[in-house]
This record gives sequence, structure tokens and C-alpha cells, in this order.
Amino acid sequence: MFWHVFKTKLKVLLWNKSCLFWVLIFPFIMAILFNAAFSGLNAMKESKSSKVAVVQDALSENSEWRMFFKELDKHKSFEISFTSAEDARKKLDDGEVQSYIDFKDDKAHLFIKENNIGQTLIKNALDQYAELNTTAAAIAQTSPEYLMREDGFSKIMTEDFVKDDNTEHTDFTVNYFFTLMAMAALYASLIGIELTKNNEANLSTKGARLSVSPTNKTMVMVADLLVGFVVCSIQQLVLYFFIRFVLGVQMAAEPGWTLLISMMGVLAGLSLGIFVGASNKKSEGLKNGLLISVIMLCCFFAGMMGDPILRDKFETMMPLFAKVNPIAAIADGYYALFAYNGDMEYYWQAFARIAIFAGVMLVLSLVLSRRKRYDSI
Amino acid sequence: MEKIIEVEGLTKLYGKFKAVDDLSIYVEKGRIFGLLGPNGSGKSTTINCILSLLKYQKGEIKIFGETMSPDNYELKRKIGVVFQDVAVFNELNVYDNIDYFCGLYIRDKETRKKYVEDAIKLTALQDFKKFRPKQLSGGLLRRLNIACGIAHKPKLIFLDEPTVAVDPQSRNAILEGIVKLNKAGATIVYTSHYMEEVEQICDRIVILDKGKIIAKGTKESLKEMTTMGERIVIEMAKPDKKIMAEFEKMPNLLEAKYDDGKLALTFARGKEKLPSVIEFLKKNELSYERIFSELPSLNDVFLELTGKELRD
Ligand SMILES: Nc1ncnc2c1ncn2[C@@H]1O[C@H](COP(=O)(O)OP(=O)(O)OP(=O)(O)O)[C@@H](O)[C@H]1O
Ligand SMILES: [Mg+2]
Repeated sequence: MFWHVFKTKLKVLLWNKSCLFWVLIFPFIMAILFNAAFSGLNAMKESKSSKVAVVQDALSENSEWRMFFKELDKHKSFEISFTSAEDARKKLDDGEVQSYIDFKDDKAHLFIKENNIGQTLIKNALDQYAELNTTAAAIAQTSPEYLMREDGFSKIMTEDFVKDDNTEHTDFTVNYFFTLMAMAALYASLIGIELTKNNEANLSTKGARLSVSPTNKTMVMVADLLVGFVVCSIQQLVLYFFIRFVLGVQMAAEPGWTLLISMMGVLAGLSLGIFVGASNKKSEGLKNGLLISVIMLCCFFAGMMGDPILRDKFETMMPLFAKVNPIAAIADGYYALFAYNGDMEYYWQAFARIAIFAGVMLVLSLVLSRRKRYDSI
Repeated sequence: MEKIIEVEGLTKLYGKFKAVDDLSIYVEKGRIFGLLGPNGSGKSTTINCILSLLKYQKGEIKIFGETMSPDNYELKRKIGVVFQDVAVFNELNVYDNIDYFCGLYIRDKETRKKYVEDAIKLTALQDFKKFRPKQLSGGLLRRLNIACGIAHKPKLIFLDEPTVAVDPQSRNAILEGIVKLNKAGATIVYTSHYMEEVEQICDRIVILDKGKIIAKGTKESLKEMTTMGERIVIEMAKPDKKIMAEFEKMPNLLEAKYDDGKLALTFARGKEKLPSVIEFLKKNELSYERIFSELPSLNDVFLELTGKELRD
């Protein structure tokens, strides 16, 4: 009987257009869009690297500032040239550079004609550098040889100052793809809703038909879970390979562990869907809408939209929610694998968070599925 | 006669609304039992209570002499239900739908295959096995709905308005199928608000209104409940007031009503109404198109008991 139900429900699911769209197509579309957006952003930044002239009159050959700008020049966002004060002013007027920097009393001054993102970036870098100068001075006193090395302090500092790295997909862009995969896993809840609808007598006449048959409803629910689990796990695996190899995003190298936490995420999604589906008699459209909005909100708080800094802000604002947020939990797991440094503790923490979420939802849906008589159908 | 279903004092409330009110019915083995009532009279609610789908406030329900409960799988195995709303998977074709629902009752694959074929034959769906429900007409869809409910050859079958929105030809095919199932040994509970259907196939009938039984018995005994004996309908031009007054003086006349080109004369029980009406028409030199006599229908019974028409 179990396999009879399993086979039929698998067929039903694979022919259900709306489920297929949200679960098997939508995440891939999102992945392609994300990829296009990030590549576009990078291309734009690259073409608009900001040309900066540095007045070298006041700079000694080996000064800290000179090293700083040499490092900055290696960065794609900036093109640094050293020149005289007069020449720099002329170049700015002619539009050959967008800004120049002069020094007075060992302080850097930025001269610009118009304000744009390139100027903002260099201003930020200068400000932070100036701030850290005191630290540099301190180090200079204790270990000056370090400060003077070509790849030494100035290199470390430039990396710090210019957060916006332009290599293809860096730490923060990859987070978008992690939340995307987590979102796709939780979209399994839509399958949960669809399958539950067919099992509960108060949700559909098909459910009534099941209820009058000599069939254990919990068994049917488990068969449904397995159907959703198989389909969505395959989706996660394909999505992982798609993002990694077709879109060329640098992901965790280990598909096994990735799939493991993905599968827990799918289970969480499915049982969330069953719980929401069975808990009330509202229309399927409403339930789907509700779940999609909640999942999107969780994605938002997990940093899928906007500045990745936001995510840290939310985390300090609502630490408990950040822990419960299933999207964040799954994405954290992926991230732990991605930034793997031989320590799986952070991965297992994330795994435990999503597993607890799944467990709670599963128990709730089991309780609801044991209901047999209804007040109204 | 063995009673297959016994319901005692069933009361069901939706919130404060009493949908079924202290209802007691029984169904005998091998019969086609008709539950007749207008929309909203509580037919579906009654059936869903009997099937243990709904919680109810009061009442005792026994099927095959056993108390019905959601866990009584042995009992459920003997029952087949055709719900009022079509309940099939749009993603599966005709054959797979029947096979799925049959499979909830019959484990053995060979038996199931045979049963599914039998159900397809009974509902005449042979040519549509590979069709999806969306490709079927309303009548065919209803037949599929029936096939899904009865494929496991149950001993007791509930059919809740299985012919709603079906053209007369398909309806007859469905009714014939039901009679066939009954002849093959199944006891049948049939609900409808079409009195003609119930008259056509049911042995015993209960008429419901607002959750209460207002009449029960065989169709003959029900018709005896009306004071009306015969209705004579004359298709003619509207008679003037004087003639109408003359009509109303006829012996045993209960009501004379002109409507839509027809004069309907309702008489109480008695004999030889038609000849006297024809004589009256001749005497007054009234011309007419057609004249015919009607015996009381269940609609008349309902009309007399509730003061309203059964339909709508
Ligand atoms: N879930 C519900 N909640 C509240 N009231 C309900 C519910 N289901 C039915 N009712 C009411 O109970 C009464 C009986 O409904 P029921 O469906 O049993 O009637 P029915 O005889 O089957 O009518 P129909 O011919 O339209 O199918 C109706 O007045 C209906 O409005
Ligand atoms: Mg009904």
C-alpha cells in the first residue's frame, strides 16, 4: 500500500504545474538572475575604475603613503599615477583624472570635480588609512622593519580599506547563492501544502475519499513526505551543481555535506508545508502566498536582498530570530563548508538549528494528521 | 429484513446552526434507499456523519450492526462513497485514478486490475482510459467519480447527488449503472433533489427539510399522503372570470390555476375526473389544444407538506 501511494503521489507531483514551477524552475531562474546581476555589477565597476593623481612633491621615495597608493593601484577600482601638483590640477580640469590627492602637513587632501562612487571609495580608503596611521606609528616604533616591507603593513591595510573586492564572486556574493539554495529547499513547503490538501477531508473531497477508505493517514503522510523529499533533494543537488559549474560560482567543494544540510532543509520545508496546510481551512492560494512571503522575509533577514551588512545588523537586533530563521540556518551551514578551515563545529551548529526546526514542524504535522473527525468539511 | 444502517437521534450543529435535527433512519439490506430534499436540507451532512467524517453532537450510528468509527477499517472496507463533488486527481488519467482509489482497498494487484476493468465497464468509460479528467465532459467526469467510489465492489454504497449537472442521457446511464450495482447485491443510499430520479430507482424514501424528516415510506405510500388525487392540465386561452368561477364550482376541486398558457385543475381523491372536465369544456364551448391528466408526484407531496417547491 505504501508504495502504491508513493508511486501515485510521485506521478501527481511531477504533473503538477504550479509545484513544478516554484520548486523546480523558479530557483534556477533566480540563480541565473542573481548571476547576471552580479556579473553586470562587476563589469560596470571595472569599466569605471577611478583615475586618481597623487602629488608626489611632498612624498619621500619610501614614505608610507607612497606604498599605500602603490597597493591601491593594484586594485581594480583605482588607477593611481604620481605627478606634480600643477600637472594634477590640469589633469583634473581636463577630465583625465577624476580626483587628485595633495599633501599638506602630512595630511592627505582629496580634490574632486564631481562626486561619484569612485571618489567616495577613495575618500573612505583615505579616511580609514589616516585613522590607522596612529597604529602604524605605534608599530613603526616597535617593529619598523615590518612596516617597511613591500608586502607588509600597507598591503594588509589596503585590503582592509577596500572592502569592495572585485574578484568574480567573493564572500558576500556567495551568501546570496547560499540563501537562494536555502530558499529553494524551503519551497518544498509548497509541495507539503499541495499534498496535504489531498489528505484532509476538510480541505478537499479527495481527502474525504481517503478518510473513508481503510487507510492509515499517517502512512499516507509519510509516503507524501518521501515523495517530496526525493524530488526536492534531487533539486538541491542539481541546483548546487548548476550554480557551481554552469554559473561558475565558487561554492563549497564538498557536495556531500552540502546535500546533507540541504536534505534537512527540505524536510523542514515539507513539514512546515504540511503543518500550515493542515492547520486551517483557508484557501490553498492564501496558504501558498503566506508561505512564500514568510520564506522571502526569512531570506531578507538572512541577507538575500540588499547590502550583506544588513544581515549582521538584523542579527544583533534580533538574535533569537536569527537563530531560528531556517534560511539563515541552512545558509550558515553552506557558509561553514565554504569557509571550511578543518573545523566542522559551525556546520554542525547550523545543522542542529535546522534539524530542530524540522523536528518541531514534523511533530506538529504528525499531530494534525492524526485528526480523524472534523467539525465541518 | 436485516438493517444495514441504523441511525438514532442524529443531531449535527455547525456552530449554532442545526443542520441535522434528531434524525432517525434505517436502511434495509439490498434496497435502494433515497434521501430526498431541497438544497441545504442536510443530506450531505447526514451522510458525512454516518461515515464518521464529521463530529456530531448527538446520536448513535451503526453500520452492519457495528458502531461506525474512523478506525473501524473492517467496516470501511465494505463501504463505497461517491461524494457530491467530483474528487479525482487532475494529474492522473482515468485508469490511474480508478486504480489509485481502488488500491486503497484492494492490495492484490491481479484482483485490482480486474476490479478496475469492471468499474470502467460499468460506467462505460472504456474509450476514455487514457484521458485526463480535464479532457472529459461533465457527464463523463461524473461517471469517473462514480467509478472511483465503487471499484472495490463495496457491499454498501453511498451516492450523494451523483447526477448533478448531467444531461438526461448521461443521467439515465448513471441510474442504470446504480440499479446494476444494486442487482449485483449492493445496498445503496442515494441522495438527490431530483424527485424523478428518486421515484425511478428508490424503494424506500425519506424526505428531508431543514434537517428534519418530513415524510418517509415507499413512493406509493408517500403519494397517499397527499390529499391531491389527480391534476388535469388543459392547454387553452385564458378563460374569463365567469368561466373560472364555474370551474371552481366543480366537485372535489382543490385548486384552479392559470399559468403560462395552461390551466391546471387539482382534484382531491375520487374517480372519473377527466370525462367530467371534457364535458364541461364542451358544454361551455371552450376550445383547447391539449388536455392531459397527471398523478401526484413527490414534488406535490413536498409542496403540500412544506408549502414550497422541492426544486430551488
Ligand atoms: N461547513 C459548514 N459550515 C456551516 N454550515 C454548513 C456547512 N456545511 C453545510 N452547512 C449548512 O448546513 C445545511 C445542510 O447542508 P448540506 O450540505 O448537508 O445540505 P444538502 O442537503 O446536502 O444540500 P445540497 O443539495 O445543496 O447538497 C445547509 O444549510 C448548509 O448551509
Ligand atoms: Mg449535499
